[in-house]
Amino acid sequence: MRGRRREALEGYLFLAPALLIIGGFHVWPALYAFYMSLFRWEIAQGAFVGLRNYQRLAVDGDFLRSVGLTVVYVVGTVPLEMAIGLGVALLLHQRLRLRGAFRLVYFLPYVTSQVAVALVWDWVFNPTYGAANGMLTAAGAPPLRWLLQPDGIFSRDAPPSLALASIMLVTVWYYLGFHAVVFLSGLTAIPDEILAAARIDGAAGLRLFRHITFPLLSPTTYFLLLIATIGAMTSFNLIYVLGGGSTTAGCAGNPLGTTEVAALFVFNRFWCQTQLGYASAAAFVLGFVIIAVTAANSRLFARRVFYA
Amino acid sequence: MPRPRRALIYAVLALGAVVMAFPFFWMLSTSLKDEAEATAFPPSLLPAQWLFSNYAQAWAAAPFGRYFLNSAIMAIGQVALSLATCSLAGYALARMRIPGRGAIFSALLATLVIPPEVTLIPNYISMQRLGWYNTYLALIVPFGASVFNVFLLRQAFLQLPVDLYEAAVLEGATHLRYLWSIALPLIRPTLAIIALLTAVRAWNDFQWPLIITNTPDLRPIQVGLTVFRSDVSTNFQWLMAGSVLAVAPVILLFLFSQRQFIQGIARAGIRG
Repeated sequence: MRGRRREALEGYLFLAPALLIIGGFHVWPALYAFYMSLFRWEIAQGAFVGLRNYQRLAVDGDFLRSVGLTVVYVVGTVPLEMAIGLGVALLLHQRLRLRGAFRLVYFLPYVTSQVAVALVWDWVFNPTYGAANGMLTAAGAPPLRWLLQPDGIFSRDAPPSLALASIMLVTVWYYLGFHAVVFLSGLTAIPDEILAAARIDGAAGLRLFRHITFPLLSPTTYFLLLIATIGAMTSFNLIYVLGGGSTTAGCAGNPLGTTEVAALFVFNRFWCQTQLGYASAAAFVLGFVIIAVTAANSRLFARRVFYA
Repeated sequence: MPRPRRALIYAVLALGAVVMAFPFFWMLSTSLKDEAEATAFPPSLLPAQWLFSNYAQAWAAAPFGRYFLNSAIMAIGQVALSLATCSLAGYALARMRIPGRGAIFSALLATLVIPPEVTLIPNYISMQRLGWYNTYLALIVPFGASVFNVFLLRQAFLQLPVDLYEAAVLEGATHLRYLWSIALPLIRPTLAIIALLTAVRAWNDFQWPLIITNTPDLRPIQVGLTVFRSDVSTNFQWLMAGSVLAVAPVILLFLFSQRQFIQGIARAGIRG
């Protein structure tokens, strides 16, 4: 009996350091964010204002726009990077020479820092000297203002602006190798016997993919959809640096706010305008939206996931 | 596979690879041009003269050495602390008889839904109150444990045969002794994956160090790079040289440990 109690005590001691860090810097701050959101909190804690910060958010045009832009950003990047990633994975899943080299190249952006790659893309998109305009000029097309262009790509006033669309392009470039690698490991996990049996039954090409491979891949697809959606909703680094954020004290000077997605809205209110209470309220709303979207994704797609 | 189809697959993959690699090529190419060529339009594909001196000049124009050191301290600190805390916790959750073990594990998994965006501002306040603002402690300790690492390590410990532990107990080993001398050496591949992913994540981290450091002697490379950007705004060849320096260590690490890396990503599915 005494040995048991000793083991329990020892066990709690083993758990303590990790629980302290996770509790102190991950769980506690989530609760404290809600507490902060109930105050007028600029550089220091101010008066208790109840839910007034939330009421203010509900009618803040900048915040509502940032939520809309986040939706545009998520919808414009996640399906595209997953589709291209799946395509690359299917091609790489064959017996090819240079397979390892291809996988390496496609995956490379994902291991490099988003700050550094954002700086290169910023340079590629430079309106005066950039490579992107160099190619356009060579093709006889007029140059564009890329990351500095607040006009929409579909119509002048509708998002995404060319600036945001350019950032979305970089996002897809950055993450598609990640999807390809995870899809590839999902494809490798499909038992050969199933595919062989389907082929004997006459399935091939697109039909084999639609009825056999894709359903068997669904746990991977579902998993990628979940984390890519969460990741895109909280995406900050690429959008911040490509939007012009540069110095430690400076703030993103994105064209007319057309790239200010929700994560940037929170950051700008917090860091540039030192409205900590208001920013916490926005962060808390963003957190809730993320949890709600994740739950909705689970309800929508989990039933269609097929575990072989 | 028929010949023409195979050729088509190679063509598609190669074209894609060119697009994927272009920014890296462009970074290198610009970093070796002189100022006039870097800002020539239309731009030249390759530098007329390879000016490696740009690197020396960029290195001298900002405290890159210090930035590198800070990033290395941050990465090594996070790896060491995370391996220690998460190994202990993962082991306790896998092998020790503790009341409420299942509940603790479920609670830990439940915290995965908290997005980091929500914790950013309160953590900033915490750093001020703890007196950790602009110190290495702020760069290391908050990332010194993660639910994901605890989870991966628990899995690894569960896969070790129970007999092994029982034999060690018969020899009079304590939990700590067994963990240190037998269990940890056996799960080395998992430890390597965690170390690798944690180190790269730390090296590439930007938002947290941006708000928590305010002097060059604490700034890690990614933050330093954005400061450098505003300092040398028109010297694109220097900025690109700085970017190459910032990505080079991670790319080298990746080239040498590709297999573990890709395995780890496929298993953990961590997205930055």
